[in-house]
Amino acid sequence: MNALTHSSKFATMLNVFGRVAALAVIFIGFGFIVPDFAFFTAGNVENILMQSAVYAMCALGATMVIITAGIDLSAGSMIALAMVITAMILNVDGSQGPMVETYPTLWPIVAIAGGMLAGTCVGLTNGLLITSLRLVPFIVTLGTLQAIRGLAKGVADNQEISPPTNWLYHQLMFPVQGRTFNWQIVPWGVWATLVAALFAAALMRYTRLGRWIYAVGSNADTARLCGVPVLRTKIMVYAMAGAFAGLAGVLEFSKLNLGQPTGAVMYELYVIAACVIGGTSLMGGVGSIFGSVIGALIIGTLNAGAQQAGWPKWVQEIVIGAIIILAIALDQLRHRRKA
Amino acid sequence: MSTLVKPFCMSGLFLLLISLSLLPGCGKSDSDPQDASSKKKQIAVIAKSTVNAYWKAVEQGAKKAADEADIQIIWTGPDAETNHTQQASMVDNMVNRGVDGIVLAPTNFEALVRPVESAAMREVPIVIIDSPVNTDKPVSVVATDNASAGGEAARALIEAMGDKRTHGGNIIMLRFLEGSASTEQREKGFSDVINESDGLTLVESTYIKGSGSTTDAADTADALLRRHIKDNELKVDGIFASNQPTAIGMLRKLDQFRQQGITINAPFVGFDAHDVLLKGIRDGKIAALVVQDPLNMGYLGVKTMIDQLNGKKVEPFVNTGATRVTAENVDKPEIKKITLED
Repeated sequence: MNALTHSSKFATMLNVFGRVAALAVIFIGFGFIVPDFAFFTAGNVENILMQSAVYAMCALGATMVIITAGIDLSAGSMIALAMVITAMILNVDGSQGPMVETYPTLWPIVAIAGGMLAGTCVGLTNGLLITSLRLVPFIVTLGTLQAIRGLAKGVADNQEISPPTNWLYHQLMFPVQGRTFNWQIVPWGVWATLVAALFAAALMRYTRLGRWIYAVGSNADTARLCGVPVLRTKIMVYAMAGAFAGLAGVLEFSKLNLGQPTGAVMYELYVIAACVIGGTSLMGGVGSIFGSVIGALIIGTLNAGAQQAGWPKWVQEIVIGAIIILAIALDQLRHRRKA
Repeated sequence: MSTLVKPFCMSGLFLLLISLSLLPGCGKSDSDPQDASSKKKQIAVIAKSTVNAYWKAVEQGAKKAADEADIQIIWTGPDAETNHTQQASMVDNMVNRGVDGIVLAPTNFEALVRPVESAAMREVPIVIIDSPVNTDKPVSVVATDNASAGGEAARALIEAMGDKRTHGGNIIMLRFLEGSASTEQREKGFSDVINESDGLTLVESTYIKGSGSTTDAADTADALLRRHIKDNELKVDGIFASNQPTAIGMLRKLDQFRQQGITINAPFVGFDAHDVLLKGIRDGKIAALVVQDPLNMGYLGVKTMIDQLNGKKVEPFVNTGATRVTAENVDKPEIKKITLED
């Protein structure tokens, strides 16, 4: 038993290492395509990390969902709803003018909590619908993909909401690298994503819930026989996916200080791609948080690199699609050879 | 075994990327580091969208200016005019690529402030085209003078109305999205001229809701017109719609109501050129269109940036002009150049 765990841990490390290497290859590759080695600057690394952060944050929850052999297509709509709710809370007027001006430090924290709560509620709804109606997650979240987008437009009254600027905008996703190197290295939103990733990885590795999640995805029937509360685990997982999507919404909002009900369209596909590139199996039972974070970084590097290469946009899209397929195909090939 | 396969995977990816660097348009002038002095200047031109006739004309103008000055332009833009986040990353990416300057048509007055200011902080000059952005960092704004173009639309409408004031000189206006800076200025220019004219009142002006699509505009136009239809007659003397989606939406609804037997005598003035709208002019359903000159906008935008890069003085605002198109002049060659029917 001991030897087995040891060797599987070694295999996981090797897997993560392989992905880091793939990320490095893509990064260096674009470094040679973009003129004057401008791709290798501190400013650009920060730029890529910022552009990947929203996908990475959202992918933390999506990884858990996919490990239970589920899927969450409503992620983009949840991000949009969280953006709108965050913006609306920041726009609330108190008796002495806007609340965010009366409580400049505290009120944005309320807004973060609101955005996260909005995502959690939607996630919880997803989980309850999937377990109580016994419908496949694909169908339920396809429905909420539409419904939550509509809700976001409705609560925002079909407008883009631009509240007074506050520290969310100035600190969370505001580049810190100027002409001279800044020791904060990246904005706080990127650090927050890293902390959230460490939290999610610890949860998956060291808690009972983490083991349940893998068990449900490997074989739900066996898990049930072993006493794993399958339905409760699934509900928890979708609720957490909602919470992470809510936080991703707060980051997305902070980028432009704008609550946009039509924002984050199709983000769920980038997020799912990040998980799969990171080695999470759509069949369930297999995957890791760090893999998905690397996956999100690969997506971010591809987007930034393709744009900075200066290719026509249609070429960029074809190239990114091709590299995603190639990366996953090579990974599958590697697995098959190993087996 | 896996140790054998991994290098294979990586070299595969690497080869792909290397071969991509040979794609036309990216390698040639850049891959020659020794020859830095003769290296072409690079200007990124970031539109609001890349897939409609208006922006294609801007692209054409931009390319013309670039060819004349022998510089390289990188043309790009988001998938939709509401995709602010994507446009913001494009600005960041172009700054990080190290372009010499950026010509930007901001999708939103507020949302693009941060990227534009970051670019300024990294000393990449920005010229704004088409619509303004809420910061003073850009070196110049090259756009239609929207207030005066709106005034031109009002004068065209007054001319088309002549002396007819059957419904007390009442006028209605279909406005575009709230917060879209260019149309807000246009609408203000229009209402200013109407309010100064004797015997004319702007009785209702409504923003459209939604994402700004033609369908959204048509829905709002429908509700607006219904409020002014009594006894099978549209009780207003003039109608104005302030851009392409609102004008097309309004035109469709006017058509529908006419087919339902509703009497509509009020002249309709729209904005921007589009096949449907130009056909409306030829069919006599639209009295006049005020048309911007996207070709000139792209041309002057890039030219202003080149002047800036060459150390010449640039004006803080460059007007690209607006032209009144009516049934009389719609088929003249110089107008067809502006309406992109050429």
